[in-house]
Amino acid sequence: MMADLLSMDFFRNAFLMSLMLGLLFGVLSFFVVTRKMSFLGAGVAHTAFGGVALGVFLGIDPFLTALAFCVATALLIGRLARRGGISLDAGIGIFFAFSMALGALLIRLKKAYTFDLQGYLFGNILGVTAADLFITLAALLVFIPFIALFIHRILFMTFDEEVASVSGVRTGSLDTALLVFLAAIIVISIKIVGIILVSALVVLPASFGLAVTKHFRRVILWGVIYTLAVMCGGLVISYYIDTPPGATMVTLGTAVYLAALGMGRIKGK
Amino acid sequence: MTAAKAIDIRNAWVRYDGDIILEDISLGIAEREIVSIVGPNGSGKSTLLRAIMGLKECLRGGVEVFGRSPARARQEGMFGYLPQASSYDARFPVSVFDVVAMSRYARKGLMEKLARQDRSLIEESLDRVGMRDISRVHFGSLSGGQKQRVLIARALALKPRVLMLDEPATGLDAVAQDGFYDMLKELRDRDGLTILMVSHDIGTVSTIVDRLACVKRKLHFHGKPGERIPDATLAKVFGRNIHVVKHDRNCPTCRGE
Repeated sequence: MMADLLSMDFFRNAFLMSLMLGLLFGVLSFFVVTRKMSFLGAGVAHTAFGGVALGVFLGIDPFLTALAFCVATALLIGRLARRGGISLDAGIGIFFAFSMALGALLIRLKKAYTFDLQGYLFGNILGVTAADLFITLAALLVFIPFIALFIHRILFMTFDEEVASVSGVRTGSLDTALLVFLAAIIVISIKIVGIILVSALVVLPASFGLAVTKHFRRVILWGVIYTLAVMCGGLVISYYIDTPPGATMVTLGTAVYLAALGMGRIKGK
Repeated sequence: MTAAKAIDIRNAWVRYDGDIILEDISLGIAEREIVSIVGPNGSGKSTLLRAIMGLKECLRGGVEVFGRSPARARQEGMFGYLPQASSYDARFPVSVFDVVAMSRYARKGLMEKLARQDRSLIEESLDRVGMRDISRVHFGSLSGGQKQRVLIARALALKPRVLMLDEPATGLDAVAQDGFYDMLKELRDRDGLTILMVSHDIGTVSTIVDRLACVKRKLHFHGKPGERIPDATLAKVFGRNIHVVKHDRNCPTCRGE
């Protein structure tokens, strides 16, 4: 059955993409959740809509405009919050709404009726190209070594930023790098997961890991296993019941997370 | 012969949220000295500590730590820092050992793992604060006092030259406080550490430190604990006439014996 599915180019692409994104989100989620950047993840994902619309409006690749838009937004919000000029959640709230509004305006002005709005919002199983696979592979080859090299410094910074800085950790540069990775991974995943739903993949893996174990290495490992299972499982289900892949993955992922949480509570009692 | 200066603060002015919090502070701290900065809440004690470490920039004047800029001293791992008891996320997935190991990893190269010396340093630091036996326990499950001791071990594991402690006795009971202050003296005498400690409990710290610095926006008094702080200065710093009571460490009822 699986061999039949993988013999179809579009499904194989989507499956490979899901595997790579499973690894990326499984690891990224730990740092987003423990650094309390979940809402930032949701905000950046939604600002991608403005970026995609800008690409459609200007007639250039929406991936490039979304990437530039999301990275710039993540860095700007991060910088404003760091300098104390504005609270993080207020900054996200403003950019979130502005970007969605800008997207709606640009799509309307362009009269881009062929624009696959539903696909960008909820994911499209047919949307993954070979170029997308290469970009995701490149992200994987940069992000995983980055985390392997800096994991202890990021852990220190996440646990206690001020003491980490006093102890010689370059917290500003690491924070900027994490924001850029967050924005880039979100944009890369939009085609298959969708703008609205990608924020769930930023939050669910680490939440699941934290529900089942109390040590950071195991939280990351369980997060990766969970994300791989949910993304690949969700993709297969979405093919058979003909539903958007992002929506299927997130529904399945939430159900698995709630089950783990419930089992943890029962075990705890 | 005068001891080498560990910290040299010269005419420092520091701003916080747009307001001048510290005005024209000049203070020299010698190597192997325990100095306590005392003053009421909001007097700028913690800000002074943070300015010395370069976490707050001086508007005017400056700070040197062993002849280096604060940023350079930070990069060289000179500060062992214990911030004010903050609320750590109880779910943060790290053990006691992991928390102390953070200090060692901060000093290692990117590809380096913990060496045997690092592990023994971590264990020795935990031993010093009496937490070695629970090094594998989840940090979030500890009591406030235990967490404080682990964070002190983390500061020690960095092998610093200066210990910067912000209200370190918070969460420690009277007996634990005694042990803690004895440990500070031992760190000064045996390891040659310079210790700067922020406290609002002028009575207790005056029995153990080498010198006191009373801060409220300006440096109002700087002297040895035995010296009498003028009543007018105490009133200016603490806002009203107060009487400094030195706690007798041999008082059995105080120690709950």
